[in-house]
This record gives sequence, C-alpha cells and structure tokens, in this order.
Amino acid sequence: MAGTGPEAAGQRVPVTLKVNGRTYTREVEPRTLLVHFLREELGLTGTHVGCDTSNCGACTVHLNGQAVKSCTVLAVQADGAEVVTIEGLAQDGRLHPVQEGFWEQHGLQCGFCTPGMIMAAAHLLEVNPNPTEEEIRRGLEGVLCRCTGYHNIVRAVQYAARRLQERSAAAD
Amino acid sequence: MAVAGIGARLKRKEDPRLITGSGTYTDDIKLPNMVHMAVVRSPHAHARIRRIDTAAARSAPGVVAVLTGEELKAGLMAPLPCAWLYEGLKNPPHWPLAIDRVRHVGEGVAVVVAETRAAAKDAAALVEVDYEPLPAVVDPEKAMESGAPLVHDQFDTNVAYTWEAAGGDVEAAFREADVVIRQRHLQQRLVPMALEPRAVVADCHPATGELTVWSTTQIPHLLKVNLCGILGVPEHQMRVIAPEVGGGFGAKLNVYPEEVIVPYLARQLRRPVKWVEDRRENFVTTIHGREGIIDVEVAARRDGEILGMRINWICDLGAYNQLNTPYIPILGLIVSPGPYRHKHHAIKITGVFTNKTPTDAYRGAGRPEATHFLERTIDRLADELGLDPAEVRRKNFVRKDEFPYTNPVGITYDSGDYHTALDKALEAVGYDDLKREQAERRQRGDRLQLGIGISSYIEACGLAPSAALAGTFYGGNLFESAQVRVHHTGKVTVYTGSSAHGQGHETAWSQIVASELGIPPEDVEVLHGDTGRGPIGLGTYGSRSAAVGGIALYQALQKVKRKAALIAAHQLECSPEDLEFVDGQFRVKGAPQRAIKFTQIAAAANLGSHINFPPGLEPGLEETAFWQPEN
Repeated sequence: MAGTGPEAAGQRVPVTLKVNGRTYTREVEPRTLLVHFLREELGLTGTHVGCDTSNCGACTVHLNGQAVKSCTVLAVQADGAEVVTIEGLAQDGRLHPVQEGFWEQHGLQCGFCTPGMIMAAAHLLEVNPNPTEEEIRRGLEGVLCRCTGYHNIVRAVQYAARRLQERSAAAD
Repeated sequence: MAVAGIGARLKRKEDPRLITGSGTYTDDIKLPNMVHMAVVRSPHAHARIRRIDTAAARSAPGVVAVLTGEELKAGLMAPLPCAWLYEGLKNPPHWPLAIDRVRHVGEGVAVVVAETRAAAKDAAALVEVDYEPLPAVVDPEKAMESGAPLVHDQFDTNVAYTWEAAGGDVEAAFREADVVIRQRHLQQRLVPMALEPRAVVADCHPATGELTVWSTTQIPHLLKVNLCGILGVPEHQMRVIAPEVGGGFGAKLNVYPEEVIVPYLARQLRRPVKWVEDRRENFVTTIHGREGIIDVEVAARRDGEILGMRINWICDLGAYNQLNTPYIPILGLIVSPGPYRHKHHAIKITGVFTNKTPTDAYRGAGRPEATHFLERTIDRLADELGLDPAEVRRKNFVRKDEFPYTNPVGITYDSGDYHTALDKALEAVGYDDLKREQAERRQRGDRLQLGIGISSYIEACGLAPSAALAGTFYGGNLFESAQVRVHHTGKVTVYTGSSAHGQGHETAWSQIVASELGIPPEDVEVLHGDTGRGPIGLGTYGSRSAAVGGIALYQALQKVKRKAALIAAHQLECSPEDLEFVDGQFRVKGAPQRAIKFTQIAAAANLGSHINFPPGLEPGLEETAFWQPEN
C-alpha cells in the first residue's frame, strides 16, 4: 500500500456489491467500513451505527447469508458479495415474519437498535427455526437494546418462529 | 361501533417505518453540499491551553474551516445556559469551546470542517494543542478542602452552592432518640448510554437566512429559544427539529456545545453542516448521571419509630453547570423524607465542581438518588434494631387518613395509601415464605444465601406544575401544549408539545382523540418535535408526557367538542345542553334518532358552505390548549 497517512486518503478503490438484489459499484477509500458504504454511498440509512467498538450490533446486516456487524467489515472485504439490509427484508410489500413479530409484540420503542435486532433474529431463525427462549436470548447477545429490556423482543422472535413454521407447513 | 380509544390494545403507528429502516434519525439526514465537523478534544482533565496550531489542519485535503474557542466566543451572544436561576449559585461561563483552559477530559478545544467525515477527522488529528497540564481534582469531597486545585480559579472554592431545607426540631429529635444510625452512601457516576449517539445537522437558507437545526434532543422548543439567544438569531428565523430520536434517558435534555457550534458554522459557511458523536466522545462529552456522597443520620426509638433525620448530600457537578446540572439534587431533596411521617428533618446539599464531565438529569434525576439513600438507611435501622424491614416501614408510613400531607421540606402529597401498597407487594412476592427460606438457608449455612430487598418510594414525576418548582428558582415553565386541527373530511392532525423519543405518543395521542371524538385512531396524525409546526411546548422528560401533554390534548379536544356542539345544536334545532356525544355523533338526549355525525360537523366548519352553519360563529374547527396542572 502506498502511504497510509491522510495524504493517501485520496486513493480510491472500486467495490461492487449486490445489495437487496441490486448491484452497485462505487469508488471508495480502502478504509471505508461496509456500514458507511451502505449509509453514505448507497443512502441505505436503515442500518445504524451505535458504537465504534463492535459492541452494539445496530449495524447488523446479512453478508452472503451470514449475520455480520457491518461496522467491523471493510467495504473492500465485501467486494463481490451479496448483502441484505433491513430495507431489503420485506419481499414484494410483505413484511418478513420477524418484522411482523416486532410490530405485533411491541418489540421496539425508539427503534434505533431495531434494524440490527431484526436482521440478527432473521438469521437466527434460518439457522434454528424453532429456538428455545434461552437460544433466542443467546442468539441475540450481539445486539444491545437500551429501551425495552429484551422481553418483548424475545416474544417477537417466538412469534416469528411460529409464523415461519406455519408458512413452511402450508408450503408442504 | 366504539373506536379503539384509550385502553385499547393497538399495534403502534410508529413501528412500520422503524421495522423497515425507513425512519429518519439525525445522522440519516443528507443535504446537498453538506460538510462535516469533527471536534478536537482535550486528553487532560485540567490544563492551560498555551497555543493551538491549526496551520496543518487548515491545509489538509478537503478542509473548509477550522475554528477555535476564542474566534467562536467572539461570534456568540452568550455562553451555554443553566436553567437554575438561584443567585447563590456560582455559575462560571461555559463557552462551547475551551478558551484558556480545559477543565475535563473530552472538552472541545477546536473544530475542523471538511468535505467528508473522514477528512474532518484526519484534519482534526493535525491540530496541535500545546497543553500545560494542571493538577486535577476528581473527588467531590476532596474538592471541598481548602488548598484543593480550583476548577474555576475566578472563585476561591470548588463549592458551587449549598442549599438547606429543614422542618421541625432536628436537634431535639436526636437528643431524645434511643438509637442513632449513621450511614454513608456512595452513589457512583454513570453514563446514560442512549443507543443513538448525539448528532446535529444545521442548514442556513442562502436567501432568507432561516436556520434549520436537526438535533437528537428531547426539548426542541427549549433548545430553539436558547439557540436564538446564544447565536443572536431572531426566533421567527429559527426552526429546531427532533427527527426520530434513538432514546434519551435525560441525556438529550440539554443545550450542548455542538448544538451551538454546528448552526454557527452553517451560518458562516452558508453550507449545511453535520456532526455525529463517536461512542468514545459520548462517554466523555454527553452528561453523566448521579455521583454523590450522602451521609444520612437517623434518630429513632427502640421500636423502630423514626424521630428525625439529618442528610448531608455532596453532589459532584463536574466541570460546568449545564442546563440542569446543579438543580438535580434539589429534585431529590423534595422527596427526601420519602413516604415517612417523621416531623424533624434537615437536609443540606453541597454542589461541587470537579475536573470531570458535567452531571445532569438521568432517569429520575435526583429522586432515585434520594430513594436509594433513604431506603438503604431504613434497612440499616431495621437491622440495627433487629426488626423486620417491612415492619419499620409500616410503623413510619404516613397514614391513609393524614392526606393531604405536607412533608417537613414543604412538599404536599395529595393522596396515598402506603400500607396497602406494601402489603400487596409483600403478598404478591410471598414475603413470609421468602423469610422462612432465608432463615433456613442461614441456619444451614448454605453457600447460596437469599437476600430480600424492599423499596417504598415517592416519585415526583409528571414534572409540573411550574409553581411547585418556581419556588426553588427553576427557570423553566412546565406547562404542555396541544393543537387539534379537524380537517374537512373529519381527519385530524394533532401538534403536540411533547417530543417522543421511543414513548409511542403518536399511537397514544391518537387513542385520546379517538376516545374523545369517536373517530378511529388511523384517521389521526400526531406531529411532534418540530418547532416550525405547532405551538411552543416543553418536551419529554420526567415522565410528564401523558400526565401533562396528554391532558393538554384532552383540553384542546374539549374546546373542539364545545364548538362542534354549537354547530350540531344549530342543525338539530336544540340547545347544546340538550345534546349528548356518543360513538362519534351528537344526539338529542331522549331522541337518539335525531343525530349528526362529528364528520358532518367537520365538513360544515371547513368547506361545507351549503350546510346550515350558525350565524356569527367563525368557521374552521381547530383549537389549541396550554395546560398548566394545578398540582
């Protein structure tokens, strides 16, 4: 890498990402975090930044099917990957069952952690379609909420698990 | 068909935008030509600023402006405000950027503005500040000692104020006591930690000069009035907007340095400016909560009856008086006798400056602090006398027949039944079984013991009325406002002075309108957090929104119904007194078939010129209320 100081700040590299089904290419500084790429370059501000140390999880998105904290991934690391953000979770106007669960079960108040919480929960249910309460609480440990005390968030995920099972049962 | 009014279980109106990531928080705002601000902050708790070299920063790529404390001060009309007007308070000027001295870690020394956030931060790292570290004082008790380093050397002390309140004859109580308990309580400092860091965006209209400021605030109107005074912008040219706010907990109930600097720069540069706090900045620049050293003495009889209390409360203010910093313990003082009926009570508060981040309102603001040291001391007394903690409380509670009851520091409790409340709680938790289990565990010497905690407390929330706090020099008013505008088709827009940041007012206020006007909540829009729309309001803190903001809305709705009744009476050819309002329509008492829907009244008042309208009554159906509770 040519100099790493501010004088190198101008150097830009191309990054191509498929986000919520649409492909984007942007020239960014190598140090650009994925969360800032999504928010600043693509204007997808649904993903939030609540800390600068990978603690809060408000920035959780799906990267190639994995739930990741997008504040701890460089945009260049995600080059060529497929990303799903909160804005891409609902399909053709229908809320994802996790989104529905949060609405039904009052799983949010200020809403700042909600996008990250929903993305983490959606991935949790893909990996474990029928989690116990303990598994839900452990599965969401990476996302902090300051308002709700987590109780309704757990109930929202349980609601979503039921809906998903109903849907897959109906599909069989 | 009754509509979903107060008490109905509704899915929140706020949620659809929040669960799809389409709500707009301050950091989500992006304006054309916008530049970004970064702040250079002190790594020292106390230091003199000998020199600031900004040359390298000014020439760094993308930099648009660099500003230091001296230049900023010259452009402002006043420093940051403190709302406590007690003349006994030492209130050193608090300028948004330090000028000759920094007095806590994180205090801003200079700001850099650049085309991107990254460029601003890079350039901020190039600002060279020549600090001369000074001895810092961080323990509030040591700060009171003579010879301690002075946080503000224009004063000869770090004591910002003292405040005493007493009732009865405390000395006599302690003379007659069988037992005196002394207990020191250390309440630690904490970081409020709303999940959303603070952020400010400002935009100055190039032609009109109108200034719009978006901020993560709980008090848009109060912030606006203060910014007008500090920036010298006339009120009709300033608009403050609290978009979605990601939690506050008291920490966004202030007038912060960045809330002044960002709009100042927007006016200078004629470009929108944005600043967003890093979490590390949040730890040292957003106010902290609590931190006090409280010595409590209780004089009591052997049977647990409390005769008197003496409380000495040292409160760590931090380096400056922010909006309510010194006033917080006063809010604790008023409930310091708690639910207990002892007549002899003396409390002294000492507010002390230290070289730390200012403390201010945080979740309960003074009342939890008072409840903590009071209830811990009651438990110590029970322990000392070998009595059941619940018994000591029952013995000392104000009795149901003693209300309204005025406590020894002059605050009146209008009603209460503390005995029943405690009995219900103990019953619910199975107190006797727990005590039995506790005794068995102790007897067996189990590794795991059982602790049982009791806390009976008075909470002075629903923060109002103004008169109650005016007597203690609180500079703010505490009414709340609501404006109800009924549209032609019967839809309703509410402008509320409350400023929700997670509380769900849009849903709750819609239910109040539904209950009062008989229209479904989905036909109601509730607008908040925008001084450009709706009357002045006092904002959301102190659990006051429903108690004061909700009632302001109720009062405005009564005005709407009174006017609507005049229109209905005219059309039904009866007097308003003959009418009753049920399920969204006015009906003649005793002849319910003679009725008219509220939505028809709305049409008559708006564009329905053809509908029979009372002569002399002004058209339109829109009312405003400013509600100042009596107690």
